Amino acid sequence: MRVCFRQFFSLTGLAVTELFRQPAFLLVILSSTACTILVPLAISHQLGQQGHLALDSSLAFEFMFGIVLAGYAACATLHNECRSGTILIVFSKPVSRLMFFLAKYMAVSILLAFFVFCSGVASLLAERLTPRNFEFDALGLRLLLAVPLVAFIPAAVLNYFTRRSFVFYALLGFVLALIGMVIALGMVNGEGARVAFGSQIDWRILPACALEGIALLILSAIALSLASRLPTPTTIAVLAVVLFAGLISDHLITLLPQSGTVRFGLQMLLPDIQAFWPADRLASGGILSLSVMAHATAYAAAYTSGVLCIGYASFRNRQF
Amino acid sequence: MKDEGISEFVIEARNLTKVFRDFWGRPTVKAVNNVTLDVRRGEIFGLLGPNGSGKSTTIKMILGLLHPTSGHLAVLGQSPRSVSVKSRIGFMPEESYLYKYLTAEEILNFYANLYGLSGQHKTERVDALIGQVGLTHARHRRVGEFSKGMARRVGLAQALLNDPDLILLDEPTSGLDPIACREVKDLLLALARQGKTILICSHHLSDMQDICNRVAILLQGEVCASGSVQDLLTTPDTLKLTLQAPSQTTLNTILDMLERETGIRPQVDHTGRTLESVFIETVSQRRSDSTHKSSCSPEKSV
Repeated sequence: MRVCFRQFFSLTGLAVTELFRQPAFLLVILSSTACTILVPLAISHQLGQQGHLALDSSLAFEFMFGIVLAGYAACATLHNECRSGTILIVFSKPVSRLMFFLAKYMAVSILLAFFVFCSGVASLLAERLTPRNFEFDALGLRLLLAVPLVAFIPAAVLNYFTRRSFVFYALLGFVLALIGMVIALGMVNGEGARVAFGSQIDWRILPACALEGIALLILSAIALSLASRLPTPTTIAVLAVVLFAGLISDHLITLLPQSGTVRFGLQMLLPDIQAFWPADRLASGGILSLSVMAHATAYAAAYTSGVLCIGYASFRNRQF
Repeated sequence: MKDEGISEFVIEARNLTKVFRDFWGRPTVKAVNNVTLDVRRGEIFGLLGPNGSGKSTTIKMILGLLHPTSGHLAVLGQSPRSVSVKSRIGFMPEESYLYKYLTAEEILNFYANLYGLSGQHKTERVDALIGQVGLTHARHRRVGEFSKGMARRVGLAQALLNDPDLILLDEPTSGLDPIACREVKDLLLALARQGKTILICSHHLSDMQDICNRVAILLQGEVCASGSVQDLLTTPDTLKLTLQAPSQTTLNTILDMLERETGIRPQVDHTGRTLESVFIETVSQRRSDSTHKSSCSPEKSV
């Protein structure tokens, strides 16, 4: 049993290490953060809208970049391993295919959890930095400009002198810098005056991002199941279709006859992404209750288990 | 009596056939056709054949990575798809399929974990193998920066991590310089002396001739010839006589005598060295000289 655990954590650890060292992952995190923080600044400035615009756009960006990352990570860790042949060596060791498949899913989930955390922090900043009455937060913008410098210069220095992975340390520095920025901005208001910590930050965003993160776990299970056969672009395209269909699944189902097999099949097949879209609840000033989160988690667990079973059945008989 | 014979075989393949099919299930190519092979415990067995002859497919079936279309295959007395049997197998594939973002040491530690090695035993095993394949200086470098030869060494090290009973090597000397190639061959011979069974696929016939006890030649998925290397190479009605060069008169006397005896004038030639032996001797000599010089240089002494 101990050997099984060691194998599982080794496979997961290796996949996570590989994913975290890939420049593409850093690029996706940077792009996602930049879009999440900067796009609301521009929109709010033009339209004079308030924080809910920032919230809507940041949640939408989380989904958008989330499916890109889920598809990319699943394919990088499974499809590329099949294509490059590294899987031949792994399966020449006493490793079961089920353990390998589940370890890969765990690795993709860890990566997505990291992404969701970054996205949550970026969303907090986006909402906090949104101009109120067309007035920009000068201190916040200055801190924002400093984030890349704080993140990348130490990583570059480390890489130059010790040959440590630039991508990994840049990511670490970037996240730490974002967290530092949230803490700093949490202590002051838009004019720079001291306030009680966190009183100027909309903390409801964090559970909203987590809820979307749970939906991304469903999508990553679909991505991994596809990745044993399909390459990255196709996997991401299929994920985008599933996301879109899942978002309008309520509407699609009402178009079909009440008691038909097609309706039943569609209800079973399409993930109910609407259950994970929190923007409407937050826009009306509400909060995400524990029961909503628990219901969504249970649904995601059941759906993900089903998808992983189908994915494993396809992977189990794959010949290399 | 029959049971004793079976237990001696590490790999038993009977009428093994592998047909690859397309998306619709239609047969596209018969990669292995009715192959019967027995590999005995402690021997070095070579699979020879041109490209596309079915060598790698056979190895993949032995590893359980491909499933035979028909026929019987047993590895160490079990089905090749059994997970447990793989703890006794080491495999080095044809290409160096390695995680390019990891260092040599990280890769070996990862594979050691898959074998269930841990603690001091794992550290010692990884250290020993890194030294054995000559990668001590590069253990902390990423494998993506390695030359093909260095990557092959990592591949060989990972195949030996679990001290396997059966070692499967697909083109083990491909990409290696002649000295590294000699070292690998010596290592394989030493492993065989320890009782390990080794199955090698290779195009390098001279390497196979050097180390294999028995070989099988595959062509278009079928075994064309098989047997011990000695038997296959020996021409029964021809002899080679090697002697210290005598005087011309003595030589002529011997040749005349042999011609009278056999009716054919024997051919006389000088025994030559192989290019491999010349290369190894020259490079080893030069390395030894440069090591000697550097160890005597003032900087080193200080």
